[in-house]
This record gives sequence, structure tokens and C-alpha cells, in this order.
Amino acid sequence: MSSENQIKVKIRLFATLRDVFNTSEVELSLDTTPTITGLFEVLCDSSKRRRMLFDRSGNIRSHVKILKNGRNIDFISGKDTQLADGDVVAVFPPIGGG
Amino acid sequence: MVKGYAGRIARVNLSSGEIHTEGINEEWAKNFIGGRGYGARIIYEEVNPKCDPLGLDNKIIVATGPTAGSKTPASGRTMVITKSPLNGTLACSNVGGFFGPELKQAGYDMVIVEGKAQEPVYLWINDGSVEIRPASQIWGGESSRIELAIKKETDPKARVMAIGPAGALLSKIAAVMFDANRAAGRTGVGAVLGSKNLLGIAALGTKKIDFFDLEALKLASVAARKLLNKAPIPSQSLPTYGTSVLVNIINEAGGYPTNNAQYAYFPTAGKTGGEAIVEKTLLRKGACTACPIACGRITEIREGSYAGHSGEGPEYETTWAFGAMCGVDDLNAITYANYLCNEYGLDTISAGVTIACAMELYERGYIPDGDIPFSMNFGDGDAVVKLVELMGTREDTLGYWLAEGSYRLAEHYGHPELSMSVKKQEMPAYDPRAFKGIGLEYATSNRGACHVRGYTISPEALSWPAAADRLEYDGKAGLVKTFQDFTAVIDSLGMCLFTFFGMPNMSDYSPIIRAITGIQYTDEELLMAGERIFNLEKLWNLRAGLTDKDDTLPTRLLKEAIPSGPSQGEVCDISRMLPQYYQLRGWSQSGKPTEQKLNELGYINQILIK
Repeated sequence: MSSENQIKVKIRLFATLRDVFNTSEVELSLDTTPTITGLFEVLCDSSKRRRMLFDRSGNIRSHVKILKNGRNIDFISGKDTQLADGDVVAVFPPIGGG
Repeated sequence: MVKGYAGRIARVNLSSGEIHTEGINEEWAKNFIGGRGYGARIIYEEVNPKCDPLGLDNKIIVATGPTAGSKTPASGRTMVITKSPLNGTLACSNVGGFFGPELKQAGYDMVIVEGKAQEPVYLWINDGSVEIRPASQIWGGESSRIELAIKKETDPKARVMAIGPAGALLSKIAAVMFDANRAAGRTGVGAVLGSKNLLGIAALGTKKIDFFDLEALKLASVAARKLLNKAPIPSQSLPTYGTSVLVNIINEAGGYPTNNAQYAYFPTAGKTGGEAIVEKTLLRKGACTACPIACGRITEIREGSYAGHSGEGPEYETTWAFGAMCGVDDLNAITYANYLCNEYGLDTISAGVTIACAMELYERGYIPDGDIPFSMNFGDGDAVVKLVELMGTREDTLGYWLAEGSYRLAEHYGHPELSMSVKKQEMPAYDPRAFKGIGLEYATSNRGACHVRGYTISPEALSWPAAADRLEYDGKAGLVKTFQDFTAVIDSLGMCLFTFFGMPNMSDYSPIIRAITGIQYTDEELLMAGERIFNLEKLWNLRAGLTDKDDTLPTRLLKEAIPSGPSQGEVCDISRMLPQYYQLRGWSQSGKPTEQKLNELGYINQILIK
């Protein structure tokens, strides 16, 4: 199957997500113009991983923080934010500091 | 009489050796609460704003808030309040640990220290009695040895606050160390103790505190604990990863100041974040009095040239200041530099940013050869460690100027614009070009560049309690004012600011203070008290000679766009937020509280006559 329509997106995972996903960074190849939701559907390949990022209604958990190329997706298009080849998506559980 | 306080203040005059006890002024307690607010009120009343901070006329106040000793979660904070030697502001420095509740159980809400002792001394406050004791033998020693020595002379269960060598040498970025490892770090408060020949204070107490309504207090504490246990930041990420969990989130947003803020994205930041600390150096977490969060890190260095050392930290600010700000990604060097600062008694933010400034001065050839003891390029972790040692001992010309802080260092070498500071206090670990709100906070905080007093990073980076767009200017004036006023309340109650991550409403705090004191504050009255405290500090600063020209940022952050990373191209244009901020505060266009605002705040206008 041709891969010329596929795009590559890097996902960086932090804090407790690293334990659940067993990695701090992964690169996924996806069909063109996926959204954040679509990306996470591919990423969460087990029920444990799904529970980490999705609630029972199938929505991405509100307290998970997601940046696309450093921008909070809340200020782009939320979970419908579209992705392009080479994008970096950073995913954080709720964290705080000082 | 207002309940819930110990009800007494110890006033010690080190020149005459006289010790007096005074009561709590109920009007002041009602209008300024305690801790930061009450301490500011004392300074306003008693300290000439134009005095020399290291001279005889300055005073230093160690103040608890009314929640001390109440078992309210995260209620162990203490405030050190004085005129800052770093920048002349009415400054205060907050610290955790265990000292505050012990002081209150010893019978005192606060200690006011005046004058200067002829020889070094420390105070021993033990269940009501206050003694001045000689300290020449241990003066200038390292923090851990001082703590051991004082405990040996007083009581092994005593809690100790003390300056290390940096405070004794009057470094303008000297901290006061509490329990040897916690720091009242900012604004150079350690130098004020040094100038008074005051090594520190030891406290031990068993007195019961007379709370207004013990049952209501228990209920309020349980409710607060439930909120903290339910919220993910204080119940999961902070205890698991500590504050350095922030390294990656701030860096991924492209707002992590790097190489003296020449950049704002550090590609190898991940080697020093909270996750890396858990993996490489963490022994166990640590907690302050009555704190369920336990964000503290007890660590050890296991490999490399600093292996074998252990201690507390680094926290996020330290991880950044000795890390990305100096271009360093060696966690072991960063950790060791942190331990050294604890021993010398230095503010790690100011120390790291001052070193970063020195590195840029060095790389640009602005430091004459005779003043350069070794190479100090960005990225050299060993140079960071050696520079901390120079700074802590004030050795050589360079060590002398490092201990003066980045502004005076850079000014000495002819380039003050390379000091990343506001009102001469070094900036913390968030780049205003990537987080506009924190830029306004740095510019307007009453004690100079400061993040905690108006922590807009919470909405701008952590989406708590709701997300704010970090690149937007609109709305930030109101956000900063709200955070500043709210923080002044928490600081005056004596609670930890991290409670905000589970308790984001004033109504989460007001039942606690009502149950402790019996003063029936409404939420609005508490928030107004916070605004009143903020305005009082501002008024004093204006009388000290600060103006609206000081409410700004380094030129680099105003004008030099971030060159790379996720926030490439951004600057921080303060002029898009400051006028609205002054207006929302009810101040004039030149940043002065108006008579109308002071009337509205009530009480405060009565003391303007001075």
C-alpha cells in the first residue's frame, strides 16, 4: 500500500504517562489530516492506555494537557485540531510546579 | 481579644540587648491578617523607606500566619519581612519547613529584630522565654553545621533558622535557611541578618493555641484536605515528580529561558526534569508541617565527580537556574550546586541567573582577564559549581561581584542590560515572551521579578483553574491583579501557595480563618484584605523612591524576539498590559494608588499621614 499520503507526527509523553505508555517519545505514521482525537485513537492500543487519556464517554479527559508545537490545543481547535507532517504533540497529565 | 493567634510578638533590640513582648494589634490583625500583611504593616509603621537596608534603622520580622500550628493542611509557612538590600523594596521572603508552627507554639506569632549586636548572636525562644546567646564560634559556618551546633546548645528538637556564610558576608542575594535545607531565598533577606550580627533564631514550644472554634476548624481542615486529595496536581504530580515536573511543560511551550534568556527552548531539558530526578537522584519525597502534598525531594548524587553527596532539592526554579539558564543539562552538577547554595545560604534563582549573566559577560569579552579565574562558558556544569563556590565565599573580585547579584555585577562590567532582572531582582524560570501574563507579574510585583506572588503560569501553562492563552495580552491585567491579591491573602494566612492547585476559591480558605480567629470575614473581605496588603507594599515602595519606570522588563524580553523553538518570534510588550493593570488597580497612569482607591480599601487611608 502506498504511504505517500501518510504523515509523520511525534508524540512526547511526560510524567505518569511515560509509565503507562512505556516510552517518552513515539513517532506515528497516520493518514492525512488526522485530528488530535484521531491521533490518540491510534496511540491508545490497550484499554489501560485508553483509560489514561479517554473518559467513559469517549472524550479526551479534560485534565490532560496537550500542546501542538508548543501551543495549547484549547486555543487552536481543541480535540479537533488538525495535524500536519512533522508536528510535535506533547501530552501531560495534570502537573504543577513553582 | 482575637483568638487563634499566640497573641504575642517578641521585640528584640540587639543594640541594647532589650527584649520586650507586645500584644497583637487587633485592628492590624483584622485588616492585614498576619504573616506577610501584618509584617508589611509593621514595616510601614516603623521603618523609614529611605533607610540603608544594611544599616541600623532597618528591621527584620519573622512572621507566622494565624493558621500556624492549626494542623490546617499546608499551613506551615513563615515569612521574613524587611527592607531588601537587593533592591530597597518592602520585601518579604516565604519559606516552608517546620519553624513557623514551632515559633507559635513557643508563644510568639512574630519576632521583630532591631539594631545590631556588637558580636554575633542568635536568639533562643523556648516556651515563652527569649534569650540572646553568643554565636561567634559558629558565625560564618555552613548551614548544616550551624543547625547542628545550635541544636546541641539548645535542644535537639528545636527548629532553627540561620544564615550561612553568604549572609555573614552580606551577599545581596543571601537567603535565610530554615531547617538547613529550606530557604527564605529572595530579596537578600539573609544579608539583613548579617548586618545585625544575627546568626538566626532557634524555637521550641509546647503551648496550646486557643482557636476560636475547634470543631469548625477540624471540619474546615478536613474539607481542605479533601479538596487537595481530589485535585490531580497536589495529589499526584507534585508528590510523584516534585516541582521539576514543570521543566518539560515549560520547555515544550518554548518559554524556558536558556543561556541567559538568549533562547527560550533547551533541547536537552528533559535530562534535568522531574522525571529524570525520580530516575537518577531521588531517595524519597519530603513534606513540611501538616502538609499532605509532599513535593519536597530528598536526593543523592550517585555518579560523576559529585557522587556521594546528598541533600534536599533541586526544586524547579533551581533546576532551571543552574540548568537551562546556564545552558547546563548535567543533573548531577545542578544538584550539587543546589546543595552548595543550601550550605552557603544563597537564593538559588538569583545565584543561577547571576551566573548566567557572568557567563554571557565572559563570552562577550566584557570581563577583564585579571578577573577571570577559570573559563565559564554556557553549558559548563563544573563552572557553575565553581562560580557558586566563589559567590558563597565572596572570594576574589569576581566572587565579590557575583555575591552582589546580576544587576550590580553587570553594571560593574559596563553592561547592566545583560542582567535578566526587574528592580534588580533576578527573573524566575518562565520567559515573559512566551507567557505574557507572567511578564506583567514580573514587572509589577512589589519585590522585583517574582513568579509566586502572581502565578499566572497556573492558567497560562497548567490550565488551572482554567486555561488562559499564554500568547494573548488581553485579559492579563485582570488576571495578574486577581492572582496578586489572592496570593497576598494566602501569604498572610501562613498557608502554602500550592494549596491553590486544589483550592482555587477564596471560599475554600475563609471557613478556616473564621474558625481560627472568630473574625467573620466574608470572601470579599478577605480578597479586599489581600488588595489592601498589596497597596500598602506599593505605597511604601513609592516612598522608598521606586517609580513606574521600575515596572518594566529587561530590554531583551521587551524587544528581542525569541529566536527559535515553539515560541519563536515572540516578545513581551508590557505597554499592552500595564496601563490596563494600573487602571484596574485604581491607580493613576503613573502607577500610584489614588485616594479613591485607598478610601475604598478602607483603613489604609488613615495611615497615609505618615
